[in-house]
Amino acid sequence: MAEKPSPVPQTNRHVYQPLSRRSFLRGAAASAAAMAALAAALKPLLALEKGELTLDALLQKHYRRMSPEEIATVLQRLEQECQRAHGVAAQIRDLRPLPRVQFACALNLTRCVGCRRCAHACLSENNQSRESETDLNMSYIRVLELDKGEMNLETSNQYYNPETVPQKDKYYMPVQCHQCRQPPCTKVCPVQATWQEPDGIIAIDYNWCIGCRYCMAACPYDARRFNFNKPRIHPAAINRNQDYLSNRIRPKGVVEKCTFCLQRTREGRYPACLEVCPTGARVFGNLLDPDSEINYILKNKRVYILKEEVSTRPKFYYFFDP
Amino acid sequence: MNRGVQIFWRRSMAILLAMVWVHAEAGSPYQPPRTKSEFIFEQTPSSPAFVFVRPASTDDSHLNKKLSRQPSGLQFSLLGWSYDCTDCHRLIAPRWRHELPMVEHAGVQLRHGNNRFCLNCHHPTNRNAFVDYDGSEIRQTAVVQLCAKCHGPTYRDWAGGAHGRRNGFWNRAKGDQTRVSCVECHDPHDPAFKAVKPLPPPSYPARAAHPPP
Repeated sequence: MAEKPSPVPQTNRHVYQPLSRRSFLRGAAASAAAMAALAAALKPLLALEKGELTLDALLQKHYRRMSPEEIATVLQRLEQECQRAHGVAAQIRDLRPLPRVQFACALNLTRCVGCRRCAHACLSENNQSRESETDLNMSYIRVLELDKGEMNLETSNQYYNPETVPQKDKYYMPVQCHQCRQPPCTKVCPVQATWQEPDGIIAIDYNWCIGCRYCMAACPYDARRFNFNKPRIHPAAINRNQDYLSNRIRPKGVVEKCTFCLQRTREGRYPACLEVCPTGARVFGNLLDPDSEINYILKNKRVYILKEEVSTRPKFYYFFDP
Repeated sequence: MNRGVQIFWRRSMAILLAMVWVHAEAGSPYQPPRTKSEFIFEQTPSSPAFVFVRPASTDDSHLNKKLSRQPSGLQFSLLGWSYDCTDCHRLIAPRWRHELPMVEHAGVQLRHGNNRFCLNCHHPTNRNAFVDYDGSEIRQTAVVQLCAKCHGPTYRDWAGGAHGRRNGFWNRAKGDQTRVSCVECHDPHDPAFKAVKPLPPPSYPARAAHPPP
């Protein structure tokens, strides 16, 4: 501690402590940094003034904490935004999980020929941002071409484009979000924008996602895609049948991924990738139904999963005949 | 303890409690939102969960669901028109003479593996039917039973859902599920699928370290 201050000032220095140059510069730098940080933090509010961001959007709560009326208001607002931005009257719904359902998918590696129709159908169904109809970069499905007998996925090639498929001595393995039972992506999200729904699908609240991409780093299957740009989609290619958690048009700066087409599957239909497969390689169903096709495969076929050692316990199974 | 340490411990406890509370709030299992709104009715297994849910269109025109068997030549059956063998063979008697090679139906290229004998599948006297092991007829509409004669495991997989594509509703309580018979995908005379041109790949990253494979 410094010397005890005396009751009567001895010199001028005890009354008036001049500011040294060092302290002044330190203080000036600190306050400049603080003001810059404040300005950066408040920059999103500029969008509010410009009209790009409405107060409702700014103050929107997390999906899981909204009452049905609030969700209905949000859906209406999103439909209006879609109309304004793309000129398309979308119908955005909020389908809730069906009771006593756990979805799972299976894929027959003997039958997949690598035609990529599933990857392109995923784009048509889920309204990803794309430059043209053949721009596959945002598709949730990635088809890997591997040599016969090869198990190491690092040798795979997703850019194959031969004259015809299947090529000799190659096999084809589409990969998408496996809706893991122990998902690493939901554990690392700093804002809880992604979570596991009761029917097993991992959902994302696009309005809550801050775009940090931790989930993309955590996913062992590289299943998630990020919107680096404002969504670019041809209005004629927009699928109007949308859902809040799945295929509505995502804004810039959010993560998206396969949701097992929950806008279709929660109504009892098959996902789009399955419906277009020309060889019938894909299977989808309810694990809790003992008579479902997926349970037939788990009981009767040689089934394996990817990256079993990381204990994600995925719900996407690969099998082959017989 | 002195004042500073006391303040330190109290603030640490407060932060710890706050963390525990946040974790408890955020990690709680999903609860459907509770509301007293009159618009909500109970969710039942067969109904959608929400009165605001309008029924969706089942329009799948944006999806290409074409099957692998492309119609060509006289396969009008796939385009909707079907004809029976007797439509022609009422007028033209089928000829079968073992000593001469067959010149009729030369358009049929039989590439069915070891199945090289027409009468393995076709009934020798009733041209409209197929034949079973004991010589009995299999109706044309029951062609799946014909294929099952030799392809038993595949037939069982088809019945169980592991072979062939199903379209429509996985939940049969909500709608119809369609499955296709063997001949809707496989040409019975040349069942192997032809190789197809794959749809375009994703674009190779511009700044990748390695050249494209």
